[in-house]
Amino acid sequence: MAFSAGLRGQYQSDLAGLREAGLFKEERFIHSPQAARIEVEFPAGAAPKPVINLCSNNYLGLSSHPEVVAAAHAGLDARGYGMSSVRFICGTQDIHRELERRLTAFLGTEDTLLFPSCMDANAGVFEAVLTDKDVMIADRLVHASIVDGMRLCKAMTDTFKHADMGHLEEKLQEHQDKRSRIVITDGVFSMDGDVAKLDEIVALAEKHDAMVFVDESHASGFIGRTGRGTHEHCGVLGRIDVITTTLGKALGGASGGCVSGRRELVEMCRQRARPYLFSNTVPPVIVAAAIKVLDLIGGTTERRDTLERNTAYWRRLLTEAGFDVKAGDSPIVPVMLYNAKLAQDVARDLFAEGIYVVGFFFPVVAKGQARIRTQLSAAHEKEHLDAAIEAFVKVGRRHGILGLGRNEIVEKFGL
Amino acid sequence: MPEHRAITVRLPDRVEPTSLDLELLKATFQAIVALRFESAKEWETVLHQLEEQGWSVGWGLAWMAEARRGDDFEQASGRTLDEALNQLSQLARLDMVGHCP
Repeated sequence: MAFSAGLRGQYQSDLAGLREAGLFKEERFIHSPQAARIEVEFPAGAAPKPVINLCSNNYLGLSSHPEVVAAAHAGLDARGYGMSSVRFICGTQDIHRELERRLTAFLGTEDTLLFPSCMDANAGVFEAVLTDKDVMIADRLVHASIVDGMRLCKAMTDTFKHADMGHLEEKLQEHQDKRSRIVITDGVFSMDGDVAKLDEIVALAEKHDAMVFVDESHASGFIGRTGRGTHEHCGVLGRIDVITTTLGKALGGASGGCVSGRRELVEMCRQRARPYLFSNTVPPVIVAAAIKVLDLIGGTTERRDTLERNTAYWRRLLTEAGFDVKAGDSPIVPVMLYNAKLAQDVARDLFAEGIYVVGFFFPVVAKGQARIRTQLSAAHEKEHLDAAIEAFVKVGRRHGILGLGRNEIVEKFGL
Repeated sequence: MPEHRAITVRLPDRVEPTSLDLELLKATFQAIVALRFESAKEWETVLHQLEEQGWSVGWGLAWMAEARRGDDFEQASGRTLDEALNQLSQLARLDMVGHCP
């Protein structure tokens, strides 16, 4: 038996170690569609509990929107369930081409290529367009999928301090001997919710002859005046060389992602990106629904505007209640607790009060930066946020953290 | 166990070798021994095979740097110690936090 008792014991010990370290991830079973209010079975076996959801990426509230669901049904009827093929053999339908064209227009780029996920897009794009003569210069807080993509690429790896434009310029100067340089950043950073200084990044890249790559997963659909993303927000539409983004968050929330940007770079991905070449095509049902999502957000900014109002309202409620909130404008609103156990305890108590949030701590965030990441949605009504703040205040009061800043929390609970 | 044979090099009185000097001497002798005694010179066969397959092969001695923290492991190589450690540092920085979906 290859999977011997000894080997099994080793894995059991490793898993026990994760539990002891508080790093074991447990799934919560949701008994309802994704929405502002959901029913969650937790712990496993417990009766489903109705809770207000403050931890999904359903930014525009489109995950269960009736028109999106209807479009998915229609797509299923018209184009079937699966394609049983990768794209370049017999997996590309007319609707795949249509969605790619629609995403190109929405993102303001030259061309777009769908991937099974943005994780796959990020894993494949660098290797497809760069060689060992090039250098990748990434913000130190870019998403894990970008890190994986960089590791798969032969180009040299370098980093700059998070959002530090001076450091980025030093790096750009240092690597002038390379064939090409690419600056890599998230548009909105997933843990802190801060927005990249894309205008400054683009200016530096143009000055030092570098390309710019932006992952817009936490931005597409709602950042910027018409929701096109961080490049719209920063006034650099059309000046980004590569954008990756996901259909798995604001844009319907199912799955799928894309590489969008300069025509030649997208074509290189079509020819060489391994996750594209060796994964099945995005299912027709998702493609049809994503086209409907683009119809919905192309016609009006109502949902994006609602999300902006909800975000401002929620930030104000938390701040006025005395929570330590990371500054910013994005719908990712981190409530800073610094201490890992405190973050877990507060999240547990909030769940008991009917609010679903998750505590994050090392290694998901840096040591001493534990927090609860709240995420807003256009699907939230004022009553949801009012109920949520009531619970936050109750739990915050119980733990004695209201009105405390970092130093006081650290003094009281340690790091 | 046979005794290890060793070469002792007497240093001039005023020379104070740094830890890097000693590391360099050690690496140099290890490289000489490895190249001199590699069994059956298998590397030459592999090199020729690669060249026959159309690869243009370059090879040489390099610095290897490794970093371990718990289960995390990073490894980098470079023509100079600076190059290897800088690359190692970049790889370690990319893993600074686990990030969140």
